[in-house]
Amino acid sequence: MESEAFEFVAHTADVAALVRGRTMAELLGSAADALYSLVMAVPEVAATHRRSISIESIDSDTLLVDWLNELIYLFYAEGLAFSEFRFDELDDTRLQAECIGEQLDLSQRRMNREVKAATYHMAHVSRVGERLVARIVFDI
Amino acid sequence: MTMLRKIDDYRWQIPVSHRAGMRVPGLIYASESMLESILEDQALEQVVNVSFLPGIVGYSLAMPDIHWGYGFPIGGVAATRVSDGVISPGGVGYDINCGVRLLRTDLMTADVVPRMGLLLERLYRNVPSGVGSEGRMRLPKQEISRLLVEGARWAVEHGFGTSDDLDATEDGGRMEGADPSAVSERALTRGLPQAGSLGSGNHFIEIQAVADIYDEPVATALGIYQEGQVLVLIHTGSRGLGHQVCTDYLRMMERAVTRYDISLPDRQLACAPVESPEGRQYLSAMRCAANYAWCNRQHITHWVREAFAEVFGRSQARLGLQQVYDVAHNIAKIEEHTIDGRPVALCVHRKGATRAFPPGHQSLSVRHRAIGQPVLIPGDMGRYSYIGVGTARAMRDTFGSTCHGAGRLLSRTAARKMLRGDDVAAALLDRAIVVRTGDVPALAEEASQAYKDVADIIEVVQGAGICRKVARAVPLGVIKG
Repeated sequence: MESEAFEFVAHTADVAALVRGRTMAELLGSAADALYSLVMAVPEVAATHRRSISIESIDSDTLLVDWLNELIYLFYAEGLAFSEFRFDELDDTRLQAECIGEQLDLSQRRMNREVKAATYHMAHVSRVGERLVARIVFDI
Repeated sequence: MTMLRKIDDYRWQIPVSHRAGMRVPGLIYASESMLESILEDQALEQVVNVSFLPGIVGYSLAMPDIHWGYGFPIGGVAATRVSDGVISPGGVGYDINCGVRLLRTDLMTADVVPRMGLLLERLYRNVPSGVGSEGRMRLPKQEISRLLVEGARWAVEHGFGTSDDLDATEDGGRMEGADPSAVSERALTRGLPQAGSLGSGNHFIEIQAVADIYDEPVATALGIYQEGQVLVLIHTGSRGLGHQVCTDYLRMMERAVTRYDISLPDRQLACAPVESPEGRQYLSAMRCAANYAWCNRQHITHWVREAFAEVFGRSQARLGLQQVYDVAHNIAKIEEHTIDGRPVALCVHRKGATRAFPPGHQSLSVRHRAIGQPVLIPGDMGRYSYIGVGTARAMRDTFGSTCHGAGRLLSRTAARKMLRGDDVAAALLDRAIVVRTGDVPALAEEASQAYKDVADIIEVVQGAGICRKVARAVPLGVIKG
């Protein structure tokens, strides 16, 4: 399921992903796609549920990690997985997103890996040419 | 290699001059032949990073099963002064009180092998396992608060095991100072449905046979009498509750780092003074998660006993299904250690490391005081595991700590590229090791080739005197989560 938006790279104990986007909004979307392809065998979801998410962090690096941890929580606690994101507010320390996706019955869905969390280890959003790139280490 | 100075055949030092900001040297327990793989990734950089933690004493330690983690290396030990040092949730990890528990039986290999298929089937049915697995219990909220305070004792009070089990568990299966109000609603929501489940990844239940006994008197004291005797090893932790506690408090610590003006080389090391409100609150929540994990292993123990009783048509007592010991290998504890001849209260972080207290230590139960604390060191599912005991040297040199397992050699991604899960299962079966799992492709990640040889790890800890080996066991049957 790897694509232009993300790819998985080697990390001894866990799984690291390189995520890319032209904008911060795209980068957050790519990171979400990377997460869902890690946790679900088939990461496609329907557009039947909506959820607002707002996060405040201390900078763009932590905002990305906190965003992923919010999605991880919603996935395991409520079975929510999203395929579309509309960012009503987004700067280096704050986001307000409207997320569209599906509420899954996780016991009926073929899972891939259990992701404990997205870590802050080496998490850094940097600009490479026209694109934003970040590395995320997931604890699995 | 240039950063490392050889001390002896088992110890290598990274001097404080290696990088500005190091407060103590790094000390790596490894043989020369193991260094090559240790140097391949960024594990040693992580040992250096940990040495930046305010209040760290002695060394930033790495056990021989060290590998690259996030923040702390896996196999890392760091002790900080309670008076002016910090506590770091990253020094415990997301799977708080991930640990192992060993049961012994009066059965022999020949009793178990003919019924292995049925036994694994019953175990697989009795113990919920796999990604996102949910437990068999539905607990009301007031009960979960009691569970978080009482740990394994809660399970025993509700008929899951005996007080003997508690006596053979680190801290009696209950950490003092657990405060459920420090655990978020989110952690409870994520953790409640999973109480009493094995989980996935490297978690397992393994049926083993004793292969070698190195120290007969100690083995006998632990109920291990002869080669071929059947043991059961359980490896799991605090599931989603622990994962969410760590996530919650790392966010809090990110802010605390600024508030207390702490400078760190890696954000995942985020921390707060042990005695600060943030530090105290994290410790209270971490203790709840640790108690949840002990309760989890206590429940699983009960269901393992039920499965054995059902398959062999004998009571648990007649099967001799007693607990040898239970250790935590991802945890932070306030302990008293001797520094420069004086007793000092320290916060000892063990991330992928096992407590290894010596004979005579007052925190051990009476029956273990003569032999030292049992240490359980699982290898990979194709080779063997070890049972050891703690030593006075460990108390002096490593804050009473030793290794926790084999340590990864290959990344999970590399293992999946190199191996196929069904081939791994077939190769194990050729060697009479039966595997039952709901996720065959994931077996590739847990294959022997993905891990260091735990015998090499044991040689180092034994050689360095920070663990004394007692017995070795080989796998017969495995449930992989």
